[in-house]
Amino acid sequence: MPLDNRLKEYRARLGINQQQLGSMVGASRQTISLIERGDYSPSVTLAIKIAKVFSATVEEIFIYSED
Amino acid sequence: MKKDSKVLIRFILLMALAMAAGGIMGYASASHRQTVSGMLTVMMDMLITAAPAGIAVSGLLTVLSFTDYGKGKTLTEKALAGGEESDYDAAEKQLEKSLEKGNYSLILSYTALGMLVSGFAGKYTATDMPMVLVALAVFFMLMLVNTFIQSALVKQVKRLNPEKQGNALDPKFHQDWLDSCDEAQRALIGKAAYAAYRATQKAILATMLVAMAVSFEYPLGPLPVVLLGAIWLVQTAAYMKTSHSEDFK
Repeated sequence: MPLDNRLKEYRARLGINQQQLGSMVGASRQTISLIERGDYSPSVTLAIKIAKVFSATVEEIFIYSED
Repeated sequence: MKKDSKVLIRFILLMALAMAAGGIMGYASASHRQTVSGMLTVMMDMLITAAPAGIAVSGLLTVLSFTDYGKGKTLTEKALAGGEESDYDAAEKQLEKSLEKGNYSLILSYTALGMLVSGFAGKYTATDMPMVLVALAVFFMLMLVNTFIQSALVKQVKRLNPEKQGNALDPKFHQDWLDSCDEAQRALIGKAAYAAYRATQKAILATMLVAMAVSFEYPLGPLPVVLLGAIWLVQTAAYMKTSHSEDFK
C-alpha cells in the first residue's frame, strides 16, 4: 500500500525541483514524481536519503495509515 | 478452506465446459465436414488477400505514431524550457503513446508480411505480383520509418531523463536501459513484464487450441503448434530461470 507523503511540501520549502531532488538522492525525476503522486512507496534506503535532504525524520515526510 | 473448495469447483466446471465445447466442435466438424473445410479454405484465402490491407493499417498506425511523436517532442521542448513538473509527465505520456502505436504497427506489419508470404505457396498468380511487390516495398519502408521513430523517441526520453542510457539501434539497448533505471522504474518494468507474461501464457494456450481445432479440417500441419510450444517453453523457462536465480542469489 503506497504511503501518504508531504514530499512536495518539503521540496517547495527547500525550493528545489523533482530533478534536483532526484540527483541529490540518486533517483530519477520520474521516481520522485511517482512518490509524490502516491503511486510508489520508496525503499527504506531511499526514504532515509530523502529525509536526510530535508533534515527531517522519515515519519515526518512519509505517513503510514492502516486504511 | 471454503475458498479453496470454491476455486476447485470453478476449475472443474471450467474443465467440463472446455471438454463439452471441444466435443461439440468435433461433432459439428465431423457431421458438416465439407462445410467446415470449405469455410476454413475461404477464410485462409481471405487472410492472404487481406495482407496488403494489414500493411495499410500498419502504415496508418505509423502515421499516428509519428504525429504523437511530434506532439511529444513539442511538449518535451516546453518542459525543458523551464516548464512545470506536470509538463515533464505530459511529455512522457505523449511519447509513450507514440511508442505504443509504433509497436502495434510493427507487430501488425510483420503479421501481414507473414500472411502475404504464405500466399506464395500456391495462391498468387502472375497478375497478383505487382500488388504483392508494392506491399513488400511498403513493409520495408514501414520498418525503416518505425525504427527511425523509435530511435528518435528514445532520444527525447533521454533529454527528459538524462540518467537514462542506451541507443535504440544497439542490440544491447534493453540491458543498457534497464541498468540505468532506478528502483521505481524497475518496479514498474517488473509489474508490466509480469502482466505481459500472464497475458502471453493465456494467449499461447488459446492460440494453440484454435490451431488444433482448425487442424481437424484444414491442413495446417504440426508446425504452428510446434512453434507455439517453442514460444511457450522459451517464455516459461526464461521466467523460471530468472525467478530462481533472483530467489537464491
